[in-house]
Amino acid sequence: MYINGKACISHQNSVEEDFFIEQAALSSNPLAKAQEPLYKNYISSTLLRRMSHGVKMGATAATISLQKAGAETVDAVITGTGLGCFEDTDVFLRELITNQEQTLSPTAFIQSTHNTIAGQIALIFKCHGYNLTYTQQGHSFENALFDAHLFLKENEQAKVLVGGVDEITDSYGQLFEAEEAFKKNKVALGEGAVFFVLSNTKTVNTKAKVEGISMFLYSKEIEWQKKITDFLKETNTTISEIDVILSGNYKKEDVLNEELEKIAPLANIVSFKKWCGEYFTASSFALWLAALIIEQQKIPQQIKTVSVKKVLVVNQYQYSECSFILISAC
Amino acid sequence: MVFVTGIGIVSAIGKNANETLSSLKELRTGIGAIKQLHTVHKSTMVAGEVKLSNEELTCFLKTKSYDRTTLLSLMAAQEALQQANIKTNSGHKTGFVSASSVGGMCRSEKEYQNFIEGKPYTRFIDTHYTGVHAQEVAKHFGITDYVTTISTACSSSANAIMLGARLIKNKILDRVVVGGADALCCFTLNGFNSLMILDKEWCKPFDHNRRGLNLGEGAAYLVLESEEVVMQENKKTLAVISGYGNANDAYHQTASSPQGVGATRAMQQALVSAKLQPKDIRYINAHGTGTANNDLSEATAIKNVFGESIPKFSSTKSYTGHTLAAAASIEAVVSILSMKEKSIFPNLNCIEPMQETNLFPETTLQHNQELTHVLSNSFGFGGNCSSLIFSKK
Repeated sequence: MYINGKACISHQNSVEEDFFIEQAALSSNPLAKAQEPLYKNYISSTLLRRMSHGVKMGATAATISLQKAGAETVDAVITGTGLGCFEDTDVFLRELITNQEQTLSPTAFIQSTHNTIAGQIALIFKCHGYNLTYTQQGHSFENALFDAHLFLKENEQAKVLVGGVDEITDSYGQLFEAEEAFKKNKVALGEGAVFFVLSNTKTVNTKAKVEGISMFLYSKEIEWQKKITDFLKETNTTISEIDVILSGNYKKEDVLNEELEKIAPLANIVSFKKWCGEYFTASSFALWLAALIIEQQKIPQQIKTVSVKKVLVVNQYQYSECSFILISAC
Repeated sequence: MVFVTGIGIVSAIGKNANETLSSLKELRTGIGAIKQLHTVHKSTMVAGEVKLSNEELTCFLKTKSYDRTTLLSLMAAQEALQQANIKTNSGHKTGFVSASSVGGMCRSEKEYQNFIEGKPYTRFIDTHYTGVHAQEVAKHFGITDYVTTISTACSSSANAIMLGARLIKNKILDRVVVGGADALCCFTLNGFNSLMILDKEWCKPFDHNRRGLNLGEGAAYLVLESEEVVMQENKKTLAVISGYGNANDAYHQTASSPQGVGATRAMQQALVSAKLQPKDIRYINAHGTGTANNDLSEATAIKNVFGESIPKFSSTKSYTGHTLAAAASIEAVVSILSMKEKSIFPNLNCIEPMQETNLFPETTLQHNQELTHVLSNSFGFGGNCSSLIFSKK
């Protein structure tokens, strides 16, 4: 699957990709809220009025990635969201409780369903094709990416828009106990929206392709070495070919990076959650960053230039959902 | 080919497939006064509730205490796996593809008042997420090769069935349990009420004087297996998933287009993928929610696809209520039961045809029907439209 367009809204100024690679900064607040672009540059104000910030982020990232791919529309829209539209869920729940189930406005309820983002994208770009939303916590984006892979096998000429979106609110931060988690682990709770336009055909702008994806659940007995080697074998790659590993380690004293250093002593191991925070679809941020590193041949906050052909994303969400995504230069 | 080798269902009309069949044959609706859910609307609204409390479900399943969505999911998945005579760790690559729109909301909404009032509450966010039930149920049955949850509002479990069939066709899995679960909760009841699309009496799908839908709850799952596994294990099969279509209406966040664009596309795609002609379809289990908008849009789409030769059709939501993300899998089980029984279960409460289309559903029980191919429709918010075709093996 070739990445023909990509866009990322995150805690960083990632819409401007050059700026991000030069200026990426640590998140220093328990809630790593997104730096949101000027939405009215991308979405009509009539639509914007009803949208929660998660839907705005999603629709905007989708719009930019289509622009970058030079595509007017796509054949399929596949999204992943672990939390769904929590902002509107919270609004409707509060109103329901406060008004004791009487005289409620339907707006927040309408916008609260998990497929709101994919539905709005279909509406904006008149995509009557395949449309799906996955909600499997820390595997939501991976499920969407895997479906894109299946869809492109079944429809070889197709263009697929695939993305991961999660929004945070102050309520969610409290419910997740983000402050306590930040004190303990030094990683903030994050949010963001990342979209890719994928197809089997390379365009003039194509710099990277997705080689493989694998999902599994965490257990203490995981043999990372075997897991990674088996995965790479499926994509005809050896560990020595991996130039960069983007690691989704979470706790400060995490063992994941130590393991990775042992397995791939020659690779640059870079933890990515210090930039985007921890969230269900943070792996979509990592895939965007992997593609950016290949494109720019630069790693954020590292002065030395590198030659990067292959990047492996190793993610774990809260020691539950784990995944590998391999991408390479093309 | 992708075979169905097991079915499991729990809804307002029964806690298993046998009870469901009896209710359908006896034209007995499960929609009535609200007894399980704590809501101020108890005395003024009706719903299709599962007639067991959480305690009774937990006791029946001999399990630890889960939220209601997970309990319903577990119950239906267990029946499906038992019928398919599945032993886990059989060496076959096995998946669980579920669907839900509310997930753990049925528990979250009870704790939320304390949370917003700053009073102590039990941490509920970890069970709030839509995919938690799938992870728990998959773990319960030792299913690890592929586990996911789809949430496309009221078409969710149609997409779960479709994904399961695609995973088998693409040889990613050998067998997969597919379906969906949703518990009735105040969040959805009040949401649909605020949209003013709930009928306070029994819903009347496809009737000229229809006034809205009744909500329901439940879960249903199918066990899908590859041809290789079926041959190898000499398995009894119930049906074949022969076609599927997924399209987006791209018209409005909640309303369906008057031309039924998405629905038409979904049905047409399902026919193409099944390599069938419209005339091959013997029965349509319609989405038929009972709202003014859906039934007219769906009837228009059916006319677009089938022209003047409209197959017999009915909406069985008049028995179960609209079970949201579980609706498509519940209706898939009903469709398979129809094929097996050679019967069309009638649409209840429909008296007067819709003037605009003059389409009229079956209103009496039809016997001796050779239902070789059955189409089932499911449409949802966000423009998500899906159609499935079940065929005799």
